[in-house]
Amino acid sequence: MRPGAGAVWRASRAAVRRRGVQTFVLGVVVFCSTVAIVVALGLLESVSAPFERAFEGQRGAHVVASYDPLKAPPAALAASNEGVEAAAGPFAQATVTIPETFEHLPPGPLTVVGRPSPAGPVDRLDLWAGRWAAAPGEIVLDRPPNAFFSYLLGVRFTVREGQAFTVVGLASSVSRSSEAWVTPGQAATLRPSATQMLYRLAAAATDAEVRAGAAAIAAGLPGGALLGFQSYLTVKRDAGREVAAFLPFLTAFGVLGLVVAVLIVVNVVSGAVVAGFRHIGLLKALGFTPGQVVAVYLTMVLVPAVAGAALGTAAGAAAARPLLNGVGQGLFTVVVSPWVYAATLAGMPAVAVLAALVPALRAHRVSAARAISAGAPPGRGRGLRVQRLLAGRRCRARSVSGWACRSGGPAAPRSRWRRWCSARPR
Amino acid sequence: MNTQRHVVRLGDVHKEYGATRALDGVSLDVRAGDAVAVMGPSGCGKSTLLNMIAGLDRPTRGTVEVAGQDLGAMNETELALFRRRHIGMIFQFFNLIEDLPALDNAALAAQLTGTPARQARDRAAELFEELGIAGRKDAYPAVLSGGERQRVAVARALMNRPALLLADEPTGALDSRSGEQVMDLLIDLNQIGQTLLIVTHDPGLAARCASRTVELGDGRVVAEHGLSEHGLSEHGLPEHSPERAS
Repeated sequence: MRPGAGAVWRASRAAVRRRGVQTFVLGVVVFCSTVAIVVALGLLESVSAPFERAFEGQRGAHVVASYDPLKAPPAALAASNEGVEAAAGPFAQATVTIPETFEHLPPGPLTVVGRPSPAGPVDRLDLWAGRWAAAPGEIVLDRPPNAFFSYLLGVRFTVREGQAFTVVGLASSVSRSSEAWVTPGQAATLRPSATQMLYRLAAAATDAEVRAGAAAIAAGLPGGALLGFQSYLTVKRDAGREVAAFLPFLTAFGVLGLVVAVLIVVNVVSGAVVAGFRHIGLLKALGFTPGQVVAVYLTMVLVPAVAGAALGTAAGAAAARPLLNGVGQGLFTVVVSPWVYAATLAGMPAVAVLAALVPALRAHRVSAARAISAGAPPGRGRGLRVQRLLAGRRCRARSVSGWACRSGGPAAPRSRWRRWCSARPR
Repeated sequence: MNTQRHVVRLGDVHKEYGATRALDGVSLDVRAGDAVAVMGPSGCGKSTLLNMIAGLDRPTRGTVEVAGQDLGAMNETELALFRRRHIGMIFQFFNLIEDLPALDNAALAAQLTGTPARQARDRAAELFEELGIAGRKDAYPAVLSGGERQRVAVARALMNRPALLLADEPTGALDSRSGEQVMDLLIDLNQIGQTLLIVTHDPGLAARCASRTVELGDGRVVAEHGLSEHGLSEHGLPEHSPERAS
């Protein structure tokens, strides 16, 4: 340990302990700011390219293709194609009709696909409420993850074709591959009119590439087998129109939250250091090196900052999802990645230290004499104006009392004092 | 008590703050064991001079040597290291660290030089005993009286057995009784060889504690005299003082 390190630690520890209110306020400010930053970063992350993130997260289908089941047998559809990275299906696809008398769902045709599970190599559905259809008569509806739609769970309805269904789950497909899903066995009873295949292509950045990929897939099949296909780019543009109005506002709120939280920390921390300007001068007068003075102040700030950041990150982790879910219902999927927590855990103490460093470095450049004289003397009374007025006058009492007789004093025997001065190291 | 070894040597020291000239060619020698009082009216440069000697401020021009070392050749870190080893300071307003108990205030000075904490506290406790404040070692500065605070400051200043003890108006913020006690301390210290440099307005303090008085005016040394030249009688009272007249 370097000489004087113990003194630095002692001075810092004492300051943290004795300035309880200041330390507490600093910790609380860092705590609140950290919570705000976790939420703000989570918001920013969630609203930045929400479709792309959801698409990659669910391994969305670049192409959702419908084939004539009579012309394209399942074996032919399952065969591998050049340019196809992954495929899912074939799934039987049927259309049923919701009667106008049913109040919970919009009347009209409803596309239903038979899938054994929401998982798979392509178009992994987000089953956000309920469970997957496991028996005939059970149906999972496509709805965005919004608690509002939860009322649909358990709803029973009968389609015009005669089949009765109970809603057992709510799922979301980023590829918009279907409006509802049932078991493959149930789908077969609905007189399917098409067979669905879901593809992820090796190259699908543009409309032309998607069209070329779809054409390549259909090339090995009999003419007229491909009834139609849906490009993910069309879905993306459609989704973009929905959220475009909200994203700038949400992004602005996220950035504002971030900036304001950082500014508050900077303000409080630098204020604490500036308030200790005289203390800095005093430490220097005692023989603290400039580096040690800065170390004392940084330690004083770091202790509450680390505690505030740790607690704030934990609280932010608990609060961010419920808060953001409330904001982003149906607009975006809430994502708070581990980097957000890492950033706040390391970043907030770093911000606090940087905020303290600037005034501390400025103060350490000032001569100790000036720093000491910058603070007011620890006078007990008030009436500074009066004191200043009187300071301009000669005080006779002082000069007179100075000549008074020598008092008893602490009565230290000189022989004992000698030990302190004569043994002085030279 | 004087020896020929110089503890302080100032050579033509100037200090300017913008257009204000705080020191204007001050030269001063202080020998080991001397007790020198620097006097003068407010704003004459006394505290500036003290700050120069303590290495707390730098002269605009001139040389400052303390304990044989040229302070002008040192950077801030070297000055701090030098200060903690060779200089003890007593301030008018004590300048104790409010966050630390009295004993730790003193012990901190020794810890700065690398003394282990326990040893530093033991040494501080001995000094507190000598100064008559052993019972106040755990008290924080805020609850100490002015005299007690100044004695803690004296203990802190003596912790590293400094070559030079600097005192800036050491009795200026004390009541007369506490002031007397601090004066006694300084006299005792000087009598056993501690070199003292006291900045004061108070002729009484200068007369009682100092063997030599340097008077400053407008940043210059306007007079310098020993005890006998200061108009003091053998009783230690100035010949024109009201106490003597009575």
